[in-house]
Amino acid sequence: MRERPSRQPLGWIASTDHKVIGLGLMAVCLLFFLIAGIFALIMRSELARPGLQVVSTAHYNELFSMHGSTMVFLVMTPLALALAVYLVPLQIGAANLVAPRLNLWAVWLLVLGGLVIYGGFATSHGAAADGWWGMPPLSNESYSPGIGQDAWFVGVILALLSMEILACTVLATVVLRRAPGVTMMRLPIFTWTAVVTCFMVIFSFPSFIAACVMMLVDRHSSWNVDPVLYLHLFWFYGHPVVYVMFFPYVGAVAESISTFSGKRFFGYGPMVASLLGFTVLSMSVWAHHMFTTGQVTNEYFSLTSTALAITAGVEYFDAFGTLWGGSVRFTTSMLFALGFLFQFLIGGLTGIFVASPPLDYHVNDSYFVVAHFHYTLFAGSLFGLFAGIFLWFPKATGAFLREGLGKLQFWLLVIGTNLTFFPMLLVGYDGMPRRIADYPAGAGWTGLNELSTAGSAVIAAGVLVFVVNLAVSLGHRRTAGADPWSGMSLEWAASSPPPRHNFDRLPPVRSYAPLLDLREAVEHAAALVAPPPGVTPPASGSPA
Amino acid sequence: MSARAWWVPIIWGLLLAVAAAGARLWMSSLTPPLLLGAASAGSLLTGIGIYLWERGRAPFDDRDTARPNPVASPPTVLAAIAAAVMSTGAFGGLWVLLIGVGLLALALVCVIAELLLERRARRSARAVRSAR
Repeated sequence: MRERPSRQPLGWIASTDHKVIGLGLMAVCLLFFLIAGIFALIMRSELARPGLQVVSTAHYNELFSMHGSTMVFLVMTPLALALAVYLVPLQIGAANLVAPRLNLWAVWLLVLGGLVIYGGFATSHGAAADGWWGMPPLSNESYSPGIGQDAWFVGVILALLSMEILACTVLATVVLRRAPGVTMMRLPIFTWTAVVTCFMVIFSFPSFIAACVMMLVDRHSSWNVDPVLYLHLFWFYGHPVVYVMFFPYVGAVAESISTFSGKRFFGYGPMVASLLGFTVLSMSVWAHHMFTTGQVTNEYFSLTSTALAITAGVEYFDAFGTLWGGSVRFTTSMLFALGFLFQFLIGGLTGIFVASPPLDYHVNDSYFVVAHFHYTLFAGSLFGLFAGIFLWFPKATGAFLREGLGKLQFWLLVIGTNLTFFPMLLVGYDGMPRRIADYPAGAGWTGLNELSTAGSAVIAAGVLVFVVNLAVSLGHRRTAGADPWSGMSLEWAASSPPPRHNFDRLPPVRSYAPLLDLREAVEHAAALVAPPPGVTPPASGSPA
Repeated sequence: MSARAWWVPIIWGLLLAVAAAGARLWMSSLTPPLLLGAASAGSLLTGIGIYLWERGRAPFDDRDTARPNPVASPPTVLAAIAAAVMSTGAFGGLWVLLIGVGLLALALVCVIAELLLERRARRSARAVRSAR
């Protein structure tokens, strides 16, 4: 008899099953995503025309600060880890994560951290209003009085601590709980991306936790934090976190491309090497965010930042190598994976701009930078996330998402993201600063801002279609079997949804695509038994 | 080698050490090489720890997986609430911190009770199996 997750509230609130924890975390993150999206829509409405029409400058500052904080601390980073929490045990043939209680504790720390950050809205001075980086002196007691800013620092510490714990347990699970045959060089690509992501979380997040503690001391004592030191500590976290919000989605895209091309992932070894190199480089580039401070050696950080193009190139080459000659199926997941490849390219190419100090001096603190990171994180990572959601939703729920609605959502998001963010590149290059609620009417930015605002409405429509798709697909289920896509890795050997202990039995693992090995073995055996084409087997009993 | 996991953090740590050495040679400020060096040292130590742990075991030793998992753990949720309340004591004042400490103590007692009950259940299950 198959065990089913408890339908009791306690089963969802306090379950120690990694699948319930992962899905619960994803649900919370999606809720925060909707809130951050509403903030973005309000900001875009304000910026559609010069002058203040919708919110005051002070409220606008709160909105962009909370939008950024929510998306980074409460949506994209925890979602990346939630995918790992759900999938890594299934992909390595384990029954659960190591230290399940600790995982449960971590998820609740994140939820409560988010509530503490949002609690700032209920205070007399309002929520934090100095951006998602809390940089001194803007974030000290003189310039950001009131407990809204304190709540931000405390909430961020809780969220970071939560992700640190989740990363430790995922990494420990890969080390301790791999099923027989699952060697490190047979891990699926998604699990490899989870492993390198965990390294970055474990070794870069503590620096920002330390910076937040320092700022709390700064705000409640006479001691002052050196702003340059804070910048170093913040960006030592702040740049790797961009890749934490990227690599698991690269893994999802790689799995989607491999599955829907019907081929094992091309260039597995170089991909693993590039992931290791990419993550180390991404730990070594943080001070390109500080070029204009004059306090860092620009040459070193420019060199390491530009070198990222090499490792990214390997990953693109491998993705296209997998597509090449494959039996490509253009499912919604595959469309999102291809969308990721093309749209992230724009983010990556504009990244080469900002990695060059002379160009960075020109576009620093402008909308060009806003467009660059939204092309990487929204047009890129979010598309990777949707590729993963459409791929693994049948595994997690036992039901398919509607493909028609998914394709409508895909095209709305493609149109919406480009309509929103491409004009930002142009106004930013023209000098429009970021973090402003208003701009001069004669600056020539109005038309492009109107386009951006229209694009944000199209994005909202795309997200709405996704929410409808979730409701329809869960309400009127189209049942999915254990392996509806002809997948490659071990999670497809479990039933959909998997039982609490994940696997009743495991297939032999002799490569990073064990299920494809099985199918190929069956086809090979069938080919041996069947006569060659054109040859009719002699009828039994016929004369010799 | 790839049946073992120790080489991954070792390679990662060595690559970071190269980045730290480059930073030290290239710039006068100590902060960047220190940050990179600390991350490198952490990764290398992790690799050494995993190596020592794996050395005493056969590959894919499943003695850890034999431990049953709890179905649900409400006191763990209470412990998270306690930690959050304690943290808000940083700006909420001493009384908030003390409420958090009290909640945490209660949660820890309950978690320990859960662990003891689990251990007792495991022992009695083992006794039933051996009696058969």
